[in-house]
Amino acid sequence: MRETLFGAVLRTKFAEQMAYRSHFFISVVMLVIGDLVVPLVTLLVYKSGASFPGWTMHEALLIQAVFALSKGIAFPFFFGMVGTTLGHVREGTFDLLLLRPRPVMLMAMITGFDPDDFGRLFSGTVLFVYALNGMVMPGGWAWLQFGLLFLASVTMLGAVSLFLSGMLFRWVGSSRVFDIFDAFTSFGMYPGTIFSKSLQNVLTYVLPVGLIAFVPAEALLGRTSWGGLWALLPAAGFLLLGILYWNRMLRGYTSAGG
Amino acid sequence: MIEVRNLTKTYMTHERGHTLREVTRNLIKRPMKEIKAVHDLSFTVPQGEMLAFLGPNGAGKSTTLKILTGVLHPTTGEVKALGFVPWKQRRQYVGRIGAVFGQKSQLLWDIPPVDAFYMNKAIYGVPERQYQSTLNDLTELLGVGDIIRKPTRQLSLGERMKCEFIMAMLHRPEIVFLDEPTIGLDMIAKENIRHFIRSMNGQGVTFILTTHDLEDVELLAERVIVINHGEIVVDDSLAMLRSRLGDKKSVRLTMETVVPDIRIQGITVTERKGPLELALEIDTSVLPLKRFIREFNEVYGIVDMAIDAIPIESIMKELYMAEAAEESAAAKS
Amino acid sequence: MKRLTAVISAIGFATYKEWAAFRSHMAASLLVGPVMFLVQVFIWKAVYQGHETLNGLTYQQMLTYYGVASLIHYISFDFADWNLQMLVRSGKFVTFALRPLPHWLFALAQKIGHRSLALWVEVLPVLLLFIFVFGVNLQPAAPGWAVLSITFSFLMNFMVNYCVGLTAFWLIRAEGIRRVFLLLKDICAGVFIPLSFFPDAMQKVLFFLPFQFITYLPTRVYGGEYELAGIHLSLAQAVGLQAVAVSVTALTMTVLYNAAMRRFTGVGV
Repeated sequence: MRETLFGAVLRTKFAEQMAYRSHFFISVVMLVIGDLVVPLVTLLVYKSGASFPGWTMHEALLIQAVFALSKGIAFPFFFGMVGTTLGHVREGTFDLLLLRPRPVMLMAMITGFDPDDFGRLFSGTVLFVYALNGMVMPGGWAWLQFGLLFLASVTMLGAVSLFLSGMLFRWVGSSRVFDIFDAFTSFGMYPGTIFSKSLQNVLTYVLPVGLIAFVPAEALLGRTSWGGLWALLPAAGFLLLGILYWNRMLRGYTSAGG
Repeated sequence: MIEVRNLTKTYMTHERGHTLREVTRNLIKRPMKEIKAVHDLSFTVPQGEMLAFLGPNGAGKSTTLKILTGVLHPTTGEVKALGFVPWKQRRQYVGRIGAVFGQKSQLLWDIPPVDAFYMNKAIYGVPERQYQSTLNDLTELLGVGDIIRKPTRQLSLGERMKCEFIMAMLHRPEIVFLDEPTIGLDMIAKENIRHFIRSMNGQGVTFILTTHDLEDVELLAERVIVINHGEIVVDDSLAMLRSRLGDKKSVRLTMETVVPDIRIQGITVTERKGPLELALEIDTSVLPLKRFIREFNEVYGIVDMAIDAIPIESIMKELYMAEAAEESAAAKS
Repeated sequence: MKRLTAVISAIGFATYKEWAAFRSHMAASLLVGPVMFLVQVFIWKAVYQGHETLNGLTYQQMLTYYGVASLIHYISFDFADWNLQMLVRSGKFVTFALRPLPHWLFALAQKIGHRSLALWVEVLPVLLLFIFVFGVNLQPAAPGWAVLSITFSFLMNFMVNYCVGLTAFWLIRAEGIRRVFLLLKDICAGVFIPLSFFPDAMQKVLFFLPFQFITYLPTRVYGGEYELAGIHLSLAQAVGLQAVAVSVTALTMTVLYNAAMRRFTGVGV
């Protein structure tokens, strides 16, 4: 049943996008350029003769490539709900989702489904291929570790979407949540070793934004042992917290009568 | 006060596609299409009049209104209003007119209307003294004492519309343009707004409105211009408009016995509800009411009866339809 | 003139009140600004290892650059483009056409209004955080030139955004293109990295584009020295150049505005 519901939404969303193909195209270009800003800064830093100590340019770009790839998977499915909640709560139309005979979170997620965001897979892949070309090809175990940690990365972005979306039940109509997202996740776009030791721990275990890109990329570079997979735990924990928080905020919203 | 002569407005629009291929192709060559919005309109509006523009959607009402307010240039023709050519001396002109658009708010959503009023006071350069007295008069007339200090988003649609009127009239405009001023309002709010318009009109303000609400027309307008397909179909007073269709009355009857399909001079059956109830239109110049009642009562027995003037709806319907009929006839020939 | 001041302050005041209802949205900058800055601190601390200067900037100067750039961003921020295209698309522009005041002046007054709120909700607290928490040197080299240059940046950003918004009179459904343009604007203005990091050929192009006058030039003027594409300018020269750019942009905006009004009154959009 769920597949058919999701399949139906997917189809209509794609049909919608295809009806405005020029719009879709431009919006993808926009996302690609946006994703390439930080890599551009990295490139310019390395071209001017400086570096992140202990990291080649390709290695640093690999982190940012993983970031874009993870967004490319997680954003179409999860992140759209942030915009959906923002709009619906501000206009007072969130009730429409409550009227559907489905879990509200699922409804918020699929009505926010946004195919444009798949465009990030393009920028991510381009960067990824470019980065890998400048280094020794990783071995099979590294790929396996990377695969698992990439899952954690997508989970993290899903959890973050829940936090931001939940926040918007209270903080009505604030598009600043996107800025807050960008600010906090920017820690995850650079080699973790540039941060102080204590901050590194915070970024891995407390506010695990390092998980989004740095940790998986490190695995692919063969820099982590299997013990690094413990990082999957905080991701799962964070998702759980996200779900709890979202539902709590939703209850607060419905009991306040909108 | 307003003089319009041979006003014509044609647009060139390009047909624009939305698929990528169409858009790209249109970058090189755009198929153009000419649209006649209004054609050869002429009329004058004396000071203090209350004039309504009527017509179906897309007939050219808003184009006319936009030209009269100086927002749109006509293709050809002349307009002189308050001594200005609206689109040429726009800045001086709009300082002396006001406008309320039923669906385009001038108020600021998150702050009280009074703050928005204060802003317009500065924009129109209204002196403090005059501002205060005008504001007092208007708030009293509309009965909105406290609500102008509440955030706009908390107001009901009716309250907001009243504030739109204040906003538009603070600078004491000589002409006020209203585009669907009562759209979406409840009966009481409509009544208040109409009362307000009438009393401002009594003070000499000229009102020009477009509406789809025929009640607005009946209760407000002294004169009606019906536009259809960009041309004036009728320009007349409301009373004359009625009499154009003859001295007709609309009658609803409940009878004692069944009335057969009658063909009597001056009577048209417009509706039948069950065997005993029916609605008629009676041309009283052919069949005086007195005679009709007496004869009908004798033959069929009247149980209940209501007599009304012909509702304006049927007048309008007849006008729009006549146009369409003429057109299809013209198309055939 | 007195009338004009009254108009600007009345519109500005109303906008100030409007935005004050959303203080918390603005105050998000107190979180976003310092967090972003913290990331920059770590990045450049790492990058500067073994380097005294990079592209003419020391580590301290680099931090000052980002600190000042973000403050200027808060001072000069507006979304005149978004606002204008929304008015055009929804047809609400007509209510402005019916007031005896050009819309660009209305929009500028609005910006003055919400930026005066930003001044104490956003700019001042972030400035204090930068100085006292991060220990950044935010002493302007020449306060007079700095203030003048930031004022020009304020106008420049408004005019560029407003011109972007004016395109809505021709391209009603091009919101995406406008957003791409604004992102490129930020990159070319030096928001993400000082323009002196770009390749020489690019720097020569950037020097002649209007964007450096929004962020890069005022930030460098604040720091006390200006250099781009190998061109060194004294503060007076830099601000003078900025003044020329502002005038040219003002002229462009006027021409574009008049064309847009001609189109609006011709077609009614």
